[in-house]
Amino acid sequence: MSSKLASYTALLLILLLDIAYFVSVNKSSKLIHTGSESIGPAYFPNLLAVILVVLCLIGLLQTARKEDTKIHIPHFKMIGFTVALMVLFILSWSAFGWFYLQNILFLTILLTVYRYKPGKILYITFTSLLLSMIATAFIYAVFNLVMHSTL
Amino acid sequence: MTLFGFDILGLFTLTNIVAIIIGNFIGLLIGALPGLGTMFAIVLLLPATYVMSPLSSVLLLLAAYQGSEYGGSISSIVLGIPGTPASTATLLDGNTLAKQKSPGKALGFSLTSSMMGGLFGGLVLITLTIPISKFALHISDPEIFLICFIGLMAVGLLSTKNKINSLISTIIGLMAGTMGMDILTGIPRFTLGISDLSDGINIISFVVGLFAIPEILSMIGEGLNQKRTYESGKMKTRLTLKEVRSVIKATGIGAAIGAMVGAFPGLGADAAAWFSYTAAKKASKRPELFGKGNPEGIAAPEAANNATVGGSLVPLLSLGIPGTASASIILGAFMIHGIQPGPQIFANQHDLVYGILFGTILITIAMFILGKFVTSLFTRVLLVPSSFLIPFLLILTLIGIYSSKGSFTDLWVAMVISVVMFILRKLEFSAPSMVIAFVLGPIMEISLRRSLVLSNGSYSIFFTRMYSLPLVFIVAAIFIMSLLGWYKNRKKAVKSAVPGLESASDS
Repeated sequence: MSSKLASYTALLLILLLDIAYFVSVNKSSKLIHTGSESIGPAYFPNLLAVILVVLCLIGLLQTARKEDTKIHIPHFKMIGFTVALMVLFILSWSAFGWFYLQNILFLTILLTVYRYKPGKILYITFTSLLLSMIATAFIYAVFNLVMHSTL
Repeated sequence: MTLFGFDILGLFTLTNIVAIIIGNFIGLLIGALPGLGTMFAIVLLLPATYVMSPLSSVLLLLAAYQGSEYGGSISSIVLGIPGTPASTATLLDGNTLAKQKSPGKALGFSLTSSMMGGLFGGLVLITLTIPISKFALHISDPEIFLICFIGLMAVGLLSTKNKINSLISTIIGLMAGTMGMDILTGIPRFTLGISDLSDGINIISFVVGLFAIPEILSMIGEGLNQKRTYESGKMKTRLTLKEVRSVIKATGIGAAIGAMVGAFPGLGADAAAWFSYTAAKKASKRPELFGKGNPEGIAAPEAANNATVGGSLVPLLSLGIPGTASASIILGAFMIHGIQPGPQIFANQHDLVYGILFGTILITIAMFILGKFVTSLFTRVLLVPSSFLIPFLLILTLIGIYSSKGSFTDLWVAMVISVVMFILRKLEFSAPSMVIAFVLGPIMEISLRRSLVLSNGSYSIFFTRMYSLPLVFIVAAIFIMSLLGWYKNRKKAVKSAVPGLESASDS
């Protein structure tokens, strides 16, 4: 991916977020009447929003002058898979509960995919499952029995 | 037995001792694993502080901080891969000495000088914090705002290559700190209609999202099943008295530089390690041996990076300003317990403060003793491939986030922040700037608003008060230093782009 393109995209998205922040904070602050001269809840956020616009514009100019390079994210598909699995795990945990069971599944899938070797899939899946169960038992002992934290 | 009105024996409760041992153990382990770093160790333990007393919480995190600074040298020396950024300087002589003599000898120099550096940092903390906090009682909101501003400027302008992106990161951190209900009026700000965000972003979500998860994702990028090997020579870390004496000067230089650098916001342990390596080389009788397995090249940076721990607590306890990004997370532990560090803390939380001051010494001694026993064990842990470590680290971070408040919103916030930060790091945005700004933001805002209310909206209040004026000069000095640095880099870039110009200017 081109670093210039990535920088432009990031800075423009930050600018959009800044505008959304500015609008939201000023909308909320109109709920109270503090008088036109007072230093109200929108004062500091407005200052930050203006400074951020200036910095982003300087950043865009700086990016335009820089030489383009390639940003390389090695093993991008594996990283994407990991993030997707984490999202599914959180969705499933929040919807159904059963943390420890889901944890065993989550760890087993990750360990199996990370250690995948053709021809050894059964062995790898079995050892992954075993390790996941041991890890989950350890987590149960620490969080549930020692720290009394419900997961 | 009391010292300065503090019962020293009260420090030796079971909870405090367990916190120190566990903190050191986790810090040593995480520090030893290449790529994770000091911040990861502290962030991982931060959720546990919810169920602990304030003193035990801070001791736990400080122990992790101290332990990981030494732990980073294990991977540097044994594998030739820095365990933490601050241990990169140690690698130059550490790995070479490990191959020439034994890994144990090199680790012995590292452990001994780390302990001495840590003790020195602790002594600096004990001697400087109280006078600075007494001075700080004279300062008010305008000065507090300026001190926070100096801290953020120093981090944003002095510690990174891409200053504009670093400043943008600072502003984003400040904006994140304003989310939630306004303290003074109760108005919700940028909560996106989510009730869980009315208290603002959970600091654990924020720091885990900024540091821990992106770091783990980067580990995936480095290769999951890399096999690491090392020379499994003698692992005993014992040193003779003669060997300790041979590195005393370098250790002293490292400790002094580390404590000073740690106290100044924006620099941190990696800068301290490199400054001290260079200074020790200049002061050495045999500078030509640096980089060739010279024990002084291990002692100086290791003493420095452990001395920064005590140094970074000086501004944190006396002024409420963290000296390093790691110290800002420790500030988070104070916030979790509703305690605000600063001049008032000595009056309001006397036992807590003195517990921390003397606890730092205890932590360093514990690190030394634990280091003697577990170093050889942890060198074996280094051989575990990332494919095994990553799933467990991921689940621990998710559990850590959830267990702080039992909220799934915190998990989602952390996921969003981590994916965004993973990409922004490639574009030279600064996570340390964001976290320090996030922590200092609420303090800055309140002090700014109160100052402006006092002065009827006039900014002259920051230039007309006796204690504010020197701070304004410091702001100007940092700005000028940063401009000079930018100008020098630009000159270098122009010279190297035009080959003839470089040799013409040299002749």
